[in-house]
Amino acid sequence: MPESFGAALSPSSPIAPNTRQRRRFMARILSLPGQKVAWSILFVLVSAAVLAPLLAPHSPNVQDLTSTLAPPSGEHLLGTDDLGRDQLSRLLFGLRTSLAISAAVTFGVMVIGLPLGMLAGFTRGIANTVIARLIDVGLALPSLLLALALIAAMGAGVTSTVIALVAGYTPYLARVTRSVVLKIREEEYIDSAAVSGVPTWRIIVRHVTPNMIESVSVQLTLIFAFTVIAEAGLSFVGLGIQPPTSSLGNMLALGSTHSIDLPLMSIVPGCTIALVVITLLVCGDGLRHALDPRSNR
Amino acid sequence: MTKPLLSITDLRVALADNPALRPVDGVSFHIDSGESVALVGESGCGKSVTSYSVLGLLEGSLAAHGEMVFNGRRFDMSDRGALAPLRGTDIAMIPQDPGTSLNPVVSIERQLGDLVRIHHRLSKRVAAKRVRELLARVGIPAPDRVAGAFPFELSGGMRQRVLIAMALACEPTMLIADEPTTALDTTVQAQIMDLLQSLIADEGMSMMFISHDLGLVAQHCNRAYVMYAGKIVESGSVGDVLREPEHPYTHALVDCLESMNTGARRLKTVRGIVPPLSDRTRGCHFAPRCDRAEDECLSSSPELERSGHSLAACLHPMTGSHQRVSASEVPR
Amino acid sequence: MTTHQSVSTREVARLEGITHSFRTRLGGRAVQALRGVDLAIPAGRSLGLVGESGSGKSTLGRVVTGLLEPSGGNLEILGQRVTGKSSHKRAPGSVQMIFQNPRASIDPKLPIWRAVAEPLRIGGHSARRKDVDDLLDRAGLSASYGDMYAHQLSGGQCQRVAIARAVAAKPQLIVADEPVSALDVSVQAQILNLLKDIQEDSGTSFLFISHDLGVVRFFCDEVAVLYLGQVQEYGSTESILTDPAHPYTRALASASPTLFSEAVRERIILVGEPPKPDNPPSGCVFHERCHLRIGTICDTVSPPTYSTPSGEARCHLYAPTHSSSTPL
Repeated sequence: MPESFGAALSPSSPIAPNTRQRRRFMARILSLPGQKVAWSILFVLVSAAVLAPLLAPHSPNVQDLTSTLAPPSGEHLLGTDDLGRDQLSRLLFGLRTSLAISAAVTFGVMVIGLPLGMLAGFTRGIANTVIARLIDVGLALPSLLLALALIAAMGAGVTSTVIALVAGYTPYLARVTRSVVLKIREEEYIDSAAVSGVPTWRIIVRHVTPNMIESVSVQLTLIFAFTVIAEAGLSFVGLGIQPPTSSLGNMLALGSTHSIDLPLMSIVPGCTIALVVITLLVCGDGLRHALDPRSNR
Repeated sequence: MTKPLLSITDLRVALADNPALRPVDGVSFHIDSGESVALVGESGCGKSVTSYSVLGLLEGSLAAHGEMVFNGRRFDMSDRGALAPLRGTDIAMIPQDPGTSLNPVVSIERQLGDLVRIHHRLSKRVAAKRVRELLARVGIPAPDRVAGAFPFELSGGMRQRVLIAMALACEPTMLIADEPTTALDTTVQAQIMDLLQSLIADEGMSMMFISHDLGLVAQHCNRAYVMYAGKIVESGSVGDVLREPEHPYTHALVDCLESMNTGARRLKTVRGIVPPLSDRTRGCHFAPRCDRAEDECLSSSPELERSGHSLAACLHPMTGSHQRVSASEVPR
Repeated sequence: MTTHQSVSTREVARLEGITHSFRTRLGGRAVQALRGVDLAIPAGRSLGLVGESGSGKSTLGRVVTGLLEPSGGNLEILGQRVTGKSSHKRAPGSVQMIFQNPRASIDPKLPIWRAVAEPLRIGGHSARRKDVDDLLDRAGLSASYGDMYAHQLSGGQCQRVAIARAVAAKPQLIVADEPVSALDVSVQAQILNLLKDIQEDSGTSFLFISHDLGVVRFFCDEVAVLYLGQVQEYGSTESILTDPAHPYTRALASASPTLFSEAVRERIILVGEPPKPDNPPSGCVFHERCHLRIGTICDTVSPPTYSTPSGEARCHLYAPTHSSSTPL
């Protein structure tokens, strides 16, 4: 009996199914410096946004003209604005609005940008060149200006803000997706699948997409962070979310007009914007480090 | 008996955050002046790590301990700073992969020239001349053209010659060649090995030759140390070790190679695989794969002892002349 | 080729005049990787393809597998033409491939059992876990490996998985591109034995691409030596390697390190490097490095294939002296 038959090797290390891998992956991210803090803060922020209707002590739009611009008190933990509206409640709902918009934009970017990028990565010859150049044109246009132009045409508001931001950020995702797909396409396991008789569409679904998910996720967290700032910026100049709906951006705008009498009005939304963005960037960085095969931790 | 040029005593390299895991576990060897000595073994045996510790070039996650004597001077191998001055001037290294060992954005002239000028404080003009001398010395046909070229313009064989030139630039007494031909084509490999051999003979240098290729070792080295899973399992002259291997591992390896050349229907194999770092128990690391292993092999770690013409770390070496002969011993 | 096989079913693959060129970049110079390759792989036999970098051996392997469409020439698999307009006629799974880098050929995200099940599904068949376990066992791996991932396996174990995949679809021909070059010697032997077992048990033909003459000698019945996209020598492995006719084969044989030089073997060190295919020499592609160059004919005229005592070789040295003989 030849040596290779019967003498079947047994693995010395225990079996590691998929769920164990994912848990270990999360553990790996959290072991990096600063990640525990960042992800906890992210969790708190997202919870606050989701639970805003339950957490807010007052309705955010209820005006109380008898106590305008009041400093923090037991009744209004963060004071009131110039129309007597509770700042804390407005902050919670503003966070909710801003995060919701960023989530919607990120989702839209993903839905349009991923297939576009994959198409760009897979096609060859003329089609590839044309799509790639289209993406480059999209990248060349300054996203914020594009957003401004679209909103000017459509009128300000939630819908136009979302559409404008999706248009501005889709090229980034498409571009990254395209390079990841180009790289994966050259890997030997794709050839191996092709030789095994797997049809191209199935190769894309079963082999390319799972291997692409990670790098793309990192890019999506970055886009999420950028859209928070972009929305804040648009709302700040009055083209994004319109009052009375509060968003972090328009709260900042309102607060800036009262920066002398009640600095809290601008500091609070401003710091919140900064906190959200920094937290998102740190978490995204943690994701990136954990995915990098060269990190030996 | 002249003192050896290089002598390493009880080198241990461990993972910095887990000292129980040791890629190199108590290795001692020496190299005399003018000798070519091979460190032979398969992947995971620790030969490359050993060679890097000689120059204090281990990455931060590895910590070396051991005593080294070079040219009469004592060194503590855990002290990278003390070993640094040896690099280039006394001991030079030829790395494994010519593709990645040269700076891709700097011309050959600059890379070689800077090296020469730093070590010898030469003027630019003298350095340029020296660069071309070195390139010619390593058999490069058009030194002027190559000097002005960038690494990507050169083939693998040319790049390896440039790396050899860089190793020679500061006139070292010893070369460490870490698998210098693995990444090269067969015919180019022959050229490079030929070149190394003549250079060493001409300059009277010693060479520490790291390789997994027993054939190359047979053709180009005087003595060999066979490594397995972090330890030296056999040492002796190349002829003795390869013609009459004492350690079962060496024996199995030689058997395996020979079966490839004799038209056998099946190749002789060594069953199993090299144990990973975490799986190395006390006792002989090769025992789980060894046909001659007894119970005692799993509990006690054998020392290198004279066996036949070589030294072997085995309780039941092939000739077994000085060991207890077990009833089941099968003659070779 | 000398003997013209009249019954093409005796050949699992037949290559006629295969050429391939590609441009390295848009508008750049065309690089000819293959310059008219004629080969036949008989059923149940192994053909070795030996060459160094720039020889085109990997390109040829990809052409035979169907991963690459050749620029010119004719390829028949099991008697069916599969090049050009007929490329869709290739029977799926008839030709499989084993790659050089064992770990890279397995999708890192898939558990091993799924990777092995994939080729089982060709032609719409179902793939049961039991079938996968059987394949793994045949490749020398216990069924528990099925739940692991590529990064947890050693190089040799990954290559066993690759072999399990390759035999899953019951191919007539397996193209093995340097299947053991990345492995340690002791593991090479295990894998080579496994491949040999597979060949003998199932009668699968092999196109075995390697730079290692020792491995080719063990595994292959016939061998073709490739240099710069052309077959320079062809014949049975035993005769070619014991008594090579072509100067390049001689140099390769002498350069391959063996443990003990049996008698004083001719030590040939070639001058220069394997040339890059984008700038081929004139005349015989090997003349610049040839130590047996006879004269200007080598510099100017590309030799046709002549028959030799051990097979055939593309070399002016073997031109018959009688004017009545014609080249092949």
